[in-house]
Amino acid sequence: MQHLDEGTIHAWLDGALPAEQAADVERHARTCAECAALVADARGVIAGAARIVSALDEVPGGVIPARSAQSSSRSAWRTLRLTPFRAALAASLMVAVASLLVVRNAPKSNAPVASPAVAMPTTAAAASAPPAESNDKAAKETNLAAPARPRLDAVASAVRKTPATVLAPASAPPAAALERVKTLAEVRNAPAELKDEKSKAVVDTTRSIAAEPKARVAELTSAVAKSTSAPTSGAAAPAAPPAANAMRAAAPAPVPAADAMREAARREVVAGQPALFVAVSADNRLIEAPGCFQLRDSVTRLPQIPERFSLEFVDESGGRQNIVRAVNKAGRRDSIIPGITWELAPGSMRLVFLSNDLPMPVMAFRSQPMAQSARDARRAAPDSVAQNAALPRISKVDCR
Amino acid sequence: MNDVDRLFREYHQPLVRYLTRRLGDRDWAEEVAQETFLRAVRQESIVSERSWLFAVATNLVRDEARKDIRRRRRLELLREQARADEVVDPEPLSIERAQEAALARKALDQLTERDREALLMREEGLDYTEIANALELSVSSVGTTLARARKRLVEAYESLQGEGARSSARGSHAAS
Repeated sequence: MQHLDEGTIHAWLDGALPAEQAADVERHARTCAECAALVADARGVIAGAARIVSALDEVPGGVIPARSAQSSSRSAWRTLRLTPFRAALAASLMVAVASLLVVRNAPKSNAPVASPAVAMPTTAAAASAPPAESNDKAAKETNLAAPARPRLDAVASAVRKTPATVLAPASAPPAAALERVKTLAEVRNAPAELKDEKSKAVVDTTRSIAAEPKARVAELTSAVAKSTSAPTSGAAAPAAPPAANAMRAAAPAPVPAADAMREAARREVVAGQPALFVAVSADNRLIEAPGCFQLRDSVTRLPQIPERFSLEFVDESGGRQNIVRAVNKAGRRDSIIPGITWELAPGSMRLVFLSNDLPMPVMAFRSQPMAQSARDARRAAPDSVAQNAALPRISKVDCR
Repeated sequence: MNDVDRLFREYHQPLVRYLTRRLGDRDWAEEVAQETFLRAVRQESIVSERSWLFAVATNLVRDEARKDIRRRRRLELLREQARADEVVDPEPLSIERAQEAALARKALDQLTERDREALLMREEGLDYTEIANALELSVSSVGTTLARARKRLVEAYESLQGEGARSSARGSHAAS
């Protein structure tokens, strides 16, 4: 048998040769040192090429986890964004409003007024609140089974593939995509006079699905940009005060980005969207994720986030999830914090968005890596720190 | 579940991944996948589903690419430039990953269109017959095509890595 050519070797290694020919190739490769070397080389090339191709799936900053196969199996609680806390809050508000109305409209007598409106919401709330077990389950789903939120891609380039979503889905989930295909198919088969109307509806839906996450990212990113470019007192500036003091200072300081971000996120909370938390690297450093961080001088402490936490990826079947995990004082990673996910903002790698499904106050914090050398220390210029003094800081810490 | 549903559930994910790798843009990939499935809906019968879908998607990409290749190249250049301007040390893992992805994209772009498509289809699990059908090749030439594609990809990637290492070495030398 003559020497093996590369095409045959690759076909053999790919299992694409008929059994008889494969046996011939194997026999020859065993006896011919030259071809055996070619086979070994081809194995390396195949593995190397596969690795390179899989690197194409990496999104800058890991902001575009692959879509999870479980994306259609969201729980009803998650879909409705109804948590026990929210249900209780809604019930309390309804009770308060109803009570107020009853008291205001009641005849001015001392006789007690029976108000069915008071009792009803409470009952409704009790019925709608899931049992504790369901809550745990929902929390786990939120954290682990939640489909990867599609993309936030490049803010600058109008974002690309990027994350189920922590921020709103950048691309429609498979079920929605299937519906769109079906509707579009109907449109194309529809009589001419109906086409325009149907097409417009489909296009509008598609646009709104695609535009939402980009708009949110753009809004938050521009809020951060405003802050980082805000004028400071320059070289004459005194040493940056602690972040808490800066926040309290009534001086005519530039509007802190945290306020803008809080406002943006507050609007989202009101609109029933997940709350967003933003980490900002104020000193032009890149956020190193996955990694462990320590909250330094937070202004608004986020209850769910411990002082030390890590931003990590976990590979679930069919997709990657970005999780936040507690880290103990010894630097050991501990339990996953349910309901919190994170992602790097597209394009910048200096912003981290954390999100949850609870109407918690929004917090922004910045990354301030500890100086590793004199060169690093020089780079961490004090004025750049001062620019974002209003933001709480986080520092990178060792973890294991 | 009808045929469209089955087809969609079975092939949507791999097709979008293939297209994303091919195009480097998930939105665009989703659009092309959508158009591909629309055409599948209109098709009365499809013999080899997977190769048919990949072939249609590939052809759509080629058509699209011809239309706006210049515009996209310019955008790509701007994007690369923006990334290069942005990156400073230290080199965190996420940056390394982004750089790897950028290198992989550059290396892939150095392959011929046919080699690139054959390689990406193979990585998506298509067998030699399916690749041959989708790209209108003979089955016997698929092995040669893949061997060439893989070798060139690895060589291009290593060469780009070498360039990157040399330029960063120059940078740190100049800084010190």
